[in-house]
Amino acid sequence: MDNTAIAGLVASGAMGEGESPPILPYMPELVFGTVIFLAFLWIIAKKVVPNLEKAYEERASAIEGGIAKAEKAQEEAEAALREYRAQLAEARDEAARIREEAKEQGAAIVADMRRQAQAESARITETAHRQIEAERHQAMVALRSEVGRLSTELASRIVGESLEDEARQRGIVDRFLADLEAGERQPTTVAGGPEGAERTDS
Amino acid sequence: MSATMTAAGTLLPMAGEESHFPPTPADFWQPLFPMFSLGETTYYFTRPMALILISFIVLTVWLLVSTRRASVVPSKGQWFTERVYDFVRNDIARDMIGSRDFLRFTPLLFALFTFILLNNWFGIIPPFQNPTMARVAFPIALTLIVYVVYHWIGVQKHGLGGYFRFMIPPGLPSWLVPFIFLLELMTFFITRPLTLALRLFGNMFAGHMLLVVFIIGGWELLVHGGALSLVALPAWIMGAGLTVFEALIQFLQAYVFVLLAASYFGGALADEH
Amino acid sequence: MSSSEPAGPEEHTPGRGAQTHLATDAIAYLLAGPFTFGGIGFGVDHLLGTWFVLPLGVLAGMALSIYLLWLRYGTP
Repeated sequence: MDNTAIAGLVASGAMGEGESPPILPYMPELVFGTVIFLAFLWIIAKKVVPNLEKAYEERASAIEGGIAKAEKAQEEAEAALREYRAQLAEARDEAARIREEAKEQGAAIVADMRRQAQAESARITETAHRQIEAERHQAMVALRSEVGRLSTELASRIVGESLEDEARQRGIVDRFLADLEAGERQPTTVAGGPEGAERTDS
Repeated sequence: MSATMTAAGTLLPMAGEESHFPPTPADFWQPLFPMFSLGETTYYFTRPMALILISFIVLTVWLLVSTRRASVVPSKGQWFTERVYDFVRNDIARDMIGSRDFLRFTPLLFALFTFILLNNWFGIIPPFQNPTMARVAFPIALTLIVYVVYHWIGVQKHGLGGYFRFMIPPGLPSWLVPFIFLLELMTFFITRPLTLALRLFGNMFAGHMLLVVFIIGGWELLVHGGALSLVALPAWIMGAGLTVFEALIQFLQAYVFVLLAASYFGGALADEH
Repeated sequence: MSSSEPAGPEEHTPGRGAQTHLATDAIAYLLAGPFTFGGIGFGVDHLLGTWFVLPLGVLAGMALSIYLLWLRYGTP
């Protein structure tokens, strides 16, 4: 291999003095390579990488913005849901309360009605009582005059004496009745006497 | 060996060129035209320099066009550029340097990666077919830039005194300190950058030699081999396989170079030592 | 490219750079020892006209390199 290397060196010797062993850098190549690479690095650092990083940043912020937006939307949806649930619970409470109230009110109404009905029935009963009383009273008054007339008639028939004269007749009957009521005179001649005494007692 | 080569070369000059088999290191010396003379020596513009220039133009145009209107929703070109950039940015720079400082270094690492990768692939892309990095001057140029940055951020981070103090590991017997310091100095400033540059150079150089052996060798066998010309086909098949393999190596070397550069930056910026 | 990138609130993940170049460091160290001290030995030989300092230097350099590697990376 040494032979070939030397032969190569010898053969290329004709080409020029620039030839050097491959392990030693050829100066023009070193300088040229450095300059070209630095120029390339400059372009990369000034133009290419900033553009790419800008795109990356925009992408990242776009994604972050999207996530933030989605999070916000979700939060809003949750808030709405919470609010809706709260409203629902409130409505349910309200309904229950109203139902309770209605029940209470119903009960109160029923009680009231019952009370009113009782009062009414009591009032009606009383009215009826009073009416009955009045009617009885009326009947008694009517009966009294009837009884008076009947008894005078009876008495006149029995006595045979005409007591047709009205004035006298009324006076006699009234005096008789007044005596009867006062209890001074015992009904001895008239049949209706004891009845009248009994009635005033009741 | 050399006798046969020269014999073949003189007997059958292939269209005015001398034979390239077997390949020698001298094959990598491909001057195009003299640029200028300084005293006794003439400085040539070489073919690898032309390749560097071409790679510079190709990469610049590609990157500028694909990122000029970089937008949130990438175009196809921008998408592809972003894949490459993402790889360097996230898988190399952020991983090695850490999320705090890596953005400062992504331009350099991205430039290194694309530059080395394309120049390496020139080794198998017709009509270039010559890996630029097989000329040691270019890996050295790149390594110099990496090392200037490396030492610069190291001194910036730890101060000049702290930077050199950190070269002496704790728990060292005091009489050994000067020796170790010398050794560390050599390691930091000579052998470490040298291994970085020479790894890239050596891989490209040897890989190219290997391809040349199989492909030009196959040609030589076919033309001059007589009965051996039957072996030309397997040699070419081997050469084709090696070309694919070489493409992988070329990618890997670009990756390793940038990975190590990033790891040096990360090491220089690390808080504890 | 300013260093004031948004690294504030999110936590800082340290890079793995410091551990990663261990493998290449080893090669660099192993080369540096023999080269440095072999070179010194070569110089001493040249000055004194001796021959044995160069191999001694190479050996010492190797030993120092290995010792340094052990000290840096081998000890916990």
